[in-house]
Amino acid sequence: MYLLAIETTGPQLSVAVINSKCEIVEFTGEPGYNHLTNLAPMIDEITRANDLDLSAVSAIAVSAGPGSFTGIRIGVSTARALAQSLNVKAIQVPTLMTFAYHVPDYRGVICPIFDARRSQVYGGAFFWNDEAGEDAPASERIFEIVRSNAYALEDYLKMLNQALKMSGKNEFMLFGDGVAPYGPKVAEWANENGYNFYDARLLLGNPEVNAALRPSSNLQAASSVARLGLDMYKEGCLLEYGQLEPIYMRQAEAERKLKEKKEAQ
Amino acid sequence: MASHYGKVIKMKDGKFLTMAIESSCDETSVAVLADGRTILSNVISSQIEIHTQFGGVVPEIASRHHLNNINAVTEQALSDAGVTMDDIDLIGVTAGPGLIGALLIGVATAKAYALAKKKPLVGVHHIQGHISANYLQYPELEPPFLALVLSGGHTNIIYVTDYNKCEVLGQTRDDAIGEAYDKVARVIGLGYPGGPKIDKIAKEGNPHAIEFKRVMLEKDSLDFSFSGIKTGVLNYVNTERQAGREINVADVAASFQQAVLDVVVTKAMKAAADRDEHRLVLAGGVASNSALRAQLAAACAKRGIALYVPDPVLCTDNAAMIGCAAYYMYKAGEVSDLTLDAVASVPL
Repeated sequence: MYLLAIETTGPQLSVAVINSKCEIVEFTGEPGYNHLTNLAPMIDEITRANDLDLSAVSAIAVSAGPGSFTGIRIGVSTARALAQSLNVKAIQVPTLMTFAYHVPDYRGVICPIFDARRSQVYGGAFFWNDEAGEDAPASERIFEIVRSNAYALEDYLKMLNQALKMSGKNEFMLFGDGVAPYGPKVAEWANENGYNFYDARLLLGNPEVNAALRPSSNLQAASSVARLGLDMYKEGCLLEYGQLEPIYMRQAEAERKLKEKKEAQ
Repeated sequence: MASHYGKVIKMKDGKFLTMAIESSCDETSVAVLADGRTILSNVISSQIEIHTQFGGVVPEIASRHHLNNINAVTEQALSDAGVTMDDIDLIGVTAGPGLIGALLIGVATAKAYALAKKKPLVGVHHIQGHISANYLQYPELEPPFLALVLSGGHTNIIYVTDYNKCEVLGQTRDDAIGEAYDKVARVIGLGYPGGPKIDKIAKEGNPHAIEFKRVMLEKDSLDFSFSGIKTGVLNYVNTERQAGREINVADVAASFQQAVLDVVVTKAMKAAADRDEHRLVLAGGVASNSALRAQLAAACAKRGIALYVPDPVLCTDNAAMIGCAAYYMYKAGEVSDLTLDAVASVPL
């Protein structure tokens, strides 16, 4: 049994294969948006390099968003076509939640934020629930304490503040491409409110940092899509290819404007 | 069993089967062809009603709908053809030009099918596809011939020397002909899509009511320019409105259309004379325009030129034409690998 995992929602393309023992191989592309060119060859390479026959894959796990609309569509349309032609199920992996798997031993709050432009972020907040056993479903092991959505940064921080208080946590780790533009504001806010704050970029591969704090990446990565995908697979969160939808979290601009125009009339 | 084409379904039966995908604009289409020239299925899912409310094709919305539709359209095309994906020998896909977000759905999907089923893949130029529609309509047609490609994104006079070889003799320097129709339709309040709407109302108007300028460019040029006539119509409408006169929409539509068609027909005939070519094929969405068909037919008849005009379903964006082009490319040894990219703009 093995799953193929696809991650195309961010600036860096990656694919991974994972077996039932949670053994993972991940291939990562060079940074840059040429996912359409590179995705299919990379899937071909990772299966060949690991002596896997694509036709023997058990299901296709895809990071379905939020993120770059174009990136999401490259991943989801590839996953749909693979699932359709290989006659296997697809797994719609929520991209923000995959970041919990970047730091599986961290017990603070995991906060991925993506730059959504128009002064917004796609953000969520998660933590690992110590009380759930290893075999509990992902939904019981990971708590989503800020609902994944598009937020103005201020609104996101307001939600995060409430969630941190409710869950009795006082530290969080920030991930994603939203950290570059919004990190300084978040750091200031954390200081004012007395929260400990980690910037995942500064902890990456740093040998002086406690292993539990060391993330596998600060951006989207297929290895985490594979881990969450495997948990979802075990839970039976499987879709027919036609049911596999992108998670845009935002209407198309033209639809929004048309709606506003209709409402104004 | 009968297919959509009223023929008995041909199962694989030793035939070379091409499955093709087209998603360059607002039609999601998948087709299956036997031996490159026989259509077993050609499913077209149009988004035109969705885009009409926005006054034109919205790329982001087109991309979202392509993604939602493409797998079901594929399923339908295979089932209409009475074959499975395992039976397919070749996968063809439009790689450009077109809307990049729309194209990439087709390309990503085609690559995934090719990878999963270990099938050869061919990326097709959209215009090559439009020209190839004529091979499907006319089984005896072979190159060389002259092609007039007229659509929302393209305006070309092309000398087709072989199935995969051609020479662009003329092209638009600004707006495509279909784009000019859309813009003028908006100016005179007809809305989107402009082509069929202008074609229809023009039948009730006087084509010589207003003499819009025929832009012929340099004496020997086979190029086109349609941005001027759009401005001409806009100026005319504004002048009339400022003077408090009501415009006659049918007359404006008919006069605009006549000005455009005069240029197109003149240039097509000049190209035929230049090359001493007696076969002219029409291709692209605008090839469905009734006035164009009639005037071109009359001009061709006068000069002893055979005019080839595909059925409207083969003029619109469709995957069958892409499959035909892919088949001849494959036969000539042109194969794409899995790095195939979608490109918004690419020379023929």
